[in-house]
Amino acid sequence: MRTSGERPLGFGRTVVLLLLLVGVSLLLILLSSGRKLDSLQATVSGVLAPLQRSVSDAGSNVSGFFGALIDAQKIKSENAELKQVNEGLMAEQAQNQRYARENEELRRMLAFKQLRPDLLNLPAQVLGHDTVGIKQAITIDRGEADGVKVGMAILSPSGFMIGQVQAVEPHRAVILLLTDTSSKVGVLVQRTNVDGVLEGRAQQGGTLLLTHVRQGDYVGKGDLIITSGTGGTFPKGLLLGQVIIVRQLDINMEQEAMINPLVDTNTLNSVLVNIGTQ
Amino acid sequence: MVRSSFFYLILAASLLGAGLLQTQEISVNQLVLKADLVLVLVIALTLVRGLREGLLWAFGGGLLLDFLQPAVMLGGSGLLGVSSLLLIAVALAASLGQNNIFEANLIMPLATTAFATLLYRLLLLAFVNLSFLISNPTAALLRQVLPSVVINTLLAPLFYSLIGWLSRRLAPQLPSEWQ
Repeated sequence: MRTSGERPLGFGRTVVLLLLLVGVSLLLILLSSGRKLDSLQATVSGVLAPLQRSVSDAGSNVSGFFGALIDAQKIKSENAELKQVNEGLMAEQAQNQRYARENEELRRMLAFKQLRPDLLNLPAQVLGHDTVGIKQAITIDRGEADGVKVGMAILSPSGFMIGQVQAVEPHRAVILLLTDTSSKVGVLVQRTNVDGVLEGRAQQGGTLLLTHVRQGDYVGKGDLIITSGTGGTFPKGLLLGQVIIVRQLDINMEQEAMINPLVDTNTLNSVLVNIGTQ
Repeated sequence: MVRSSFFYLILAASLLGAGLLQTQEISVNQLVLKADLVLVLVIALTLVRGLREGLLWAFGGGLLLDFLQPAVMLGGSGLLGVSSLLLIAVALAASLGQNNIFEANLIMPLATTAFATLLYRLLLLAFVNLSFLISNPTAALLRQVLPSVVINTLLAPLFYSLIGWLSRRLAPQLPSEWQ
């Protein structure tokens, strides 16, 4: 039972604690904005990175396990034999699925390497996705120490561009996906060489939008969109998406097109960092 | 003494686990599961253990989040301490729902989690992407805020019950001034 005499004392201490913690938080923000905590952040992040990688692997297993479980239940009603499948076999199946997926991604990387031998690509593992869902971003396990720099293009194992490096730490990097509303990339329509800008629209319920295409320039449904290479940030000719719908904008003498990304980034376990050309 | 140390050890491990899981996206047959686990844990701890402990866990949980995921993902600033500040605000909001009369039922944690998540998400949006919040308030609410409110609120009874059970079994009795 709280007495009227105790409350002010406890309340006062809580207020002191609150002010202290807010003060420390603000101090940390101030110090890190002046990049004075970079070494501390890098050290702690370095310690936590292996844990994140383990959880990432475990997450793949859990995902595979539940996926297998749902499939098995569908089939169970049609086939009595599957009733005898035990958890051990299912776990094994989930593990095999994971190996198969990794194998498939490696084969795609190899095929892409043969297709574009001029590109120097660094394989990287996806550590995690943006936890709050406000930014369309992922984290990878390669950083400054591996030669990764801000602005480099990030490709799927099959070679489709999915985003670019937004920030780097010594051993990991943040990738801003093309679908983020702040993402803008200079592009070309592969068939007609018409140029435009590819903008992300994920936070507004869409995916990608091709803008700044002049009226009269030919863009059609099914056309492939590639990087223009202007600015020299990343190479020309990287595939980005495919035109779904073209809209004429009478007001500002331009047309725009909805673009379908060629990769589902939610299912990616590994990516390629384009570190240059040879 | 040993029991209470064990209690805080379990909570610290849970917070670390929640932070690590939160940075993953687990998809089951195209269905993406995503929740602010650290946020829900901090709310449950504040409701069960009081504001003072809630503030400490909020600060620690926020630091963990900023270390686990570069804050640059939240808006390009790379600032350490932002998540702590937001979670401290959440703990303060959650403490409004702390009421021993309703300890046995789950209405209070549900309502508190919904309200605190709403506050957290709006603050986060305001901090990270204010222009988007102002230019597209409906889209921001429907796509960024409400899904989290629903998922976190659904998780609240589980977290509240687990923390309550752990607290009754292992934790030291809180002085009334801490509550």
